Amino acid sequence: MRIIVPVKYVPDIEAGYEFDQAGRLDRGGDGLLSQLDEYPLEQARRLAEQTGAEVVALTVGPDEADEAVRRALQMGADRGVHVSDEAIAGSDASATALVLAAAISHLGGADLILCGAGSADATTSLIPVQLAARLQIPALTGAASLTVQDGVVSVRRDEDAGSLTLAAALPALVSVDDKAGEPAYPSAKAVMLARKKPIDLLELADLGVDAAAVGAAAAKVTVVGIEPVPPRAGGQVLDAESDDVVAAFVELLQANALI
Amino acid sequence: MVGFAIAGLAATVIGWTALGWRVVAFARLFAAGAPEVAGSRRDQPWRRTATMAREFLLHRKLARKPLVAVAHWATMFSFLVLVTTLAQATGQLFDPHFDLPVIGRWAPWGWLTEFFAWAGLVGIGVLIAIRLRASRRSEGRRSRFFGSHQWRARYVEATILAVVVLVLWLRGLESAAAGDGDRARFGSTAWIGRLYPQDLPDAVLGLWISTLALAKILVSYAWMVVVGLTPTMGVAWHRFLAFPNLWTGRQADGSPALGALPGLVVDGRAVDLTDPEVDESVFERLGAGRVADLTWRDRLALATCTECGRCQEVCPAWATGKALSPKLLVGALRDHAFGAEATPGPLVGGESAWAVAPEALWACTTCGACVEACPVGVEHVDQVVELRRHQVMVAGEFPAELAGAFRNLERRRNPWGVLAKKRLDWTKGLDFDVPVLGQDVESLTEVDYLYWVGCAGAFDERGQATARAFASLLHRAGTRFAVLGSAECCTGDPARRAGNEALFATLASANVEALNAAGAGAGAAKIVVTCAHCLNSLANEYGPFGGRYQVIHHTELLAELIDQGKLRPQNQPDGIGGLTYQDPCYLARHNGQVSAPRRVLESLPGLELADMSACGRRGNCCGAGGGQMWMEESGERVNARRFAEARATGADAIATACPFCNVMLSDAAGSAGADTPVRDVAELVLAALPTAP
Amino acid sequence: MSDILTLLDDPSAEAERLAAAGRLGTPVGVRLNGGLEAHAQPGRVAEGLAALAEARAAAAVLLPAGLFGAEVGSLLAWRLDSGVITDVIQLDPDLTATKPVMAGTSLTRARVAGGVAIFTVRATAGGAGDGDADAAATAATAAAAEVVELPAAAPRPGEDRIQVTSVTGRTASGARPDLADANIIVSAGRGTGGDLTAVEELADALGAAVAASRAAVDAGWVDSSLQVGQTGKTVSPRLYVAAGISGAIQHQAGMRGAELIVAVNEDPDAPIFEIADLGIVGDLGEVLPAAAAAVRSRA
Repeated sequence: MRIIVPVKYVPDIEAGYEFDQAGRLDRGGDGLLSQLDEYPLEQARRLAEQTGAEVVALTVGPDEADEAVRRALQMGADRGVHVSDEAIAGSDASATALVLAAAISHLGGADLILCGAGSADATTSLIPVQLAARLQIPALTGAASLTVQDGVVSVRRDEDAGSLTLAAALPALVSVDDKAGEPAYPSAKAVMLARKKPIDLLELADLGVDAAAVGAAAAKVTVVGIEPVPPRAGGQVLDAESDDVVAAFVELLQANALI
Repeated sequence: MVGFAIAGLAATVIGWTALGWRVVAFARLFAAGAPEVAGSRRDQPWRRTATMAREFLLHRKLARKPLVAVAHWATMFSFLVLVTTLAQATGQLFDPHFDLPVIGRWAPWGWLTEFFAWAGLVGIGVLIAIRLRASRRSEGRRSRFFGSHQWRARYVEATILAVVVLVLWLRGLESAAAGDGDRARFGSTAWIGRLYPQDLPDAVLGLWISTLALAKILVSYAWMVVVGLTPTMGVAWHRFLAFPNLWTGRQADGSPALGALPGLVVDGRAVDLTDPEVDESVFERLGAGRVADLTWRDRLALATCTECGRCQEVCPAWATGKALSPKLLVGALRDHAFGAEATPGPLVGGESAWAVAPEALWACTTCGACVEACPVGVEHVDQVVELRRHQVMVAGEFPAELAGAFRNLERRRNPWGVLAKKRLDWTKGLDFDVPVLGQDVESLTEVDYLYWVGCAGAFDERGQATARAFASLLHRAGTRFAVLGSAECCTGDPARRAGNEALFATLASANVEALNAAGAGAGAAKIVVTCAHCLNSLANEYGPFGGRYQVIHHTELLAELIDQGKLRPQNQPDGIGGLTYQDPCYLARHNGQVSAPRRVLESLPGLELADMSACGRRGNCCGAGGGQMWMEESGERVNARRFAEARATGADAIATACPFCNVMLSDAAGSAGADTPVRDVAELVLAALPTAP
Repeated sequence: MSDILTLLDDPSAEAERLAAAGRLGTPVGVRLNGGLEAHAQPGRVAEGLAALAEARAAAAVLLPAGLFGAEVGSLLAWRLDSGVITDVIQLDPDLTATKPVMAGTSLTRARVAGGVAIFTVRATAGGAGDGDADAAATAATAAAAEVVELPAAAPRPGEDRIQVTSVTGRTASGARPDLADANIIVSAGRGTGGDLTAVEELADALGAAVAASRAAVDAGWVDSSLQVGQTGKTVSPRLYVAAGISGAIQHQAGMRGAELIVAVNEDPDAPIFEIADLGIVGDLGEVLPAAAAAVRSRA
């Protein structure tokens, strides 16, 4: 069995980030593997432990995205594939799904594709379902739990109105949410071994994707402006040991006509 | 009589065979252990011999309990001397009038024997009484013998008691049989002989002697058989094994195995995890996960533990109801390694009832009180860290909260997870500029001191207050100093003591690179730290990474500056009268510095320093070390207990010299609803200075 | 004016959604039946909407924010060779959308370039205020709007292989208000240690909704439908009381929009204090009941 986990390299939001004049994220800053991609990686690691499946971490992104793949390798992926091409910069979700689908086909397909619930930067959740559509396989999304048995993947999806249990025969795509089980901290052994795992580099030409179909020019969404949300200023911090915190709380409620 | 001789000789053969068989088995077991680093534990043989002889003759460690030390000393020597009476008794099976050749009839020898027999009698009596008293049921967990194999100990004590009584009794009978002219050599036992009728026929007297001799022989060899069959009976085995165990201690001079932790070793070779070419086969073998990973010295130490419980008695985790007792941890490992239930399974967790409970392993603060207390040289902290290394780096099983701290250390290079660019936030509000290396100061040659602020100083509110106070003092004293600013990262102490040696190595390498690039090293500016954990890592643990620095604790520098008159405390700081001082474990116990902070505090006007009952090298832990700062604590809190001890001195305030003690005791004060201020020594000194002109 | 299609999958939000569409053009409600099960096959929904959008030459399609809406939007955009903007909090008449990115630390304004513009829109989006006049206008727009059934369509290839093996409805959580409507939310984090008594006591005293951080949901203390944060709900009440929540950026992404934030936490270094209007360092098991008692005594 082969599991492919598409992963994303995202900026370290807390470390600060910048947008260029075109409203595109300046990828030069500190970045890391999107935290939400750690959950599918953890599920992949667990499945690989049970079944001996091969796990491939796949990313589409700039050179620095190597770092996300390296982390995925530490978390149990057996090898990495990094699609990097200048033409890709500025791609929207559709174009990214196109490149991912082409890369997966180029790799000979997958029995199971495990995605994160969204990326830490934009949280759009657009890619998994479109990737599955392009590959013409079922997409079981928003999985809070996941099992694979006898070639059938089964997931539980929780929504406000209730829970759904969905099943499909492999090959299939599953997007895993952050209730599916905390990622294990990689052992030193895993970290060391990851240094020697291969990361294959691919370009659009390798995938047979037309450069005109991707990138900023092909994007169907134009960003016209971007601005930081002004940081909330903290107010007073009181200590329950020494201050009358209840009075302060009630005063706040009254001042704002909340009681 | 022939029956006696046959029984006695049979017992002799069986006894020595059992003991000899076990000695060989032990030798094989130790030899099969993993190797120690080449050259370690056998270097400086003369020094080691002297160390061992000193402990043996002077009982320095045992002297923490003086009465026990004296009683044990007497018992120990009586055992050595009275071995000869076993030969005497064997002869008496054949001839009641038998005496050892040469010395047997020599009066001083007789007196010596009797002296040690009486000393042994009193000694073992005292030890028995102490054990009975200390292990009363009402003592429960407070007893240092809680969880010890009491019947094994009682059996050993009963054997010794029986042997010394029989020796004295036999001496009395011998004096009765010896006749008047020969009684001088029975100085203190002749009265026993006189208890027998004077006209007792010689044959009857002879029968008495042979019977008691046989009894003595059977008691002694029964002990050998029991001991031979019970390798986990440290209370007996320490008689033999304490000698090699003391000789092979980590420190040749006999100082406790504290301070720097030993590095990672596989197959006797140091493993450098920062080396990209490191051999993959070692990854499965980091730390101690199974019995096979225990070194020969680990095994020797496990076999030597007498279960005296001195470690348990001083363990802060045990005292607050945690699952950890250093004694029980050692006992579990020993039973696991070579008890009746020895198993190849994992040492921590797993199926075996003898495995160390994870809750116990992760409750250790690495404060080192157990190591300091152990009279036979068991190195608990090193052992705990070896187990943790396996759990973290190979098994991947450890408290979830630690993963958060590890992530923060990886991503942000500090356990709080704060951005490096905020490293200088603590300087806000100072009325002078703190010089930053690489910005305001080119090289360390331009300054007297590099102030290593530490993550707590940079990010924790209490730590920041200390950093501001200390920087102000450096400024007011006119010293030239600089800080590293955002180039500084965690020394790796929390990662290392939580078993993440790989992460420690990464952080240590980064720091050494930054420090060496700045020109730190021998002959360069001293590094001064306000954190006891940073002190320990920078001073003791960076050698293997190419970092050898002169590192001093800020209290030492403050003492110096006050001595030199560069700082002149004149006011009573913050109106504090009575003060007590919390010795940080990593300053006092691990690094032996107890006087400098006290000298500084005593120089402050109006302060009355009252030490807690446990202080200095024997101080109790605040609860933060060993990565505990980043783990959840269950049940009674270590810091609450220590705070109660501080309050019991009647002090108005608590001084400390480590930001972690400061956080823990401040928290404890808050939880107790007390307004007792907790201040770093530097803050108190600053408050005692005259207001700046 | 062109048609603005808006997907209606929740009867309680229909009027709002129709009114939002009405502010952009001629509102056309497209009612989705089939309950939760329909969420398993977003391709079928996208196909139906695509047919309708093409037939009516619609200018835009509005979808509910959330995973289902995003999936329909993604497939619809691909099908119509158009673009989709998710999680919109404000939609201008010229179809410029505003949405938060980077865990809510930035806002982008974006437009769909050509074709049918597709948006997934948060329930609170739009220009409507709270006044009665607005409510009346909303009701009027909704009543006048055309509402059609979603045309039947085939699932996309691959999607037809998905089997729904069970559906479990969730019963309403009782007397407390919904997170979306609540004026006040009291939210429980890891610091509660799983004991929600104090949080619920204060919530009931204030007539507030109860929410939780991911840590509390993950620990199984609170139902996942009450999670606030990047992977849960985004809320903007007038007051948000964070009890035992450290305030990681992922949580802040979901509650930064609150008018007022009060934080109660034992750890003085918790990042939540950096954004709280009132921070209380202390034991929430003591502070919250005391606050609840004070509120009750004033009621």
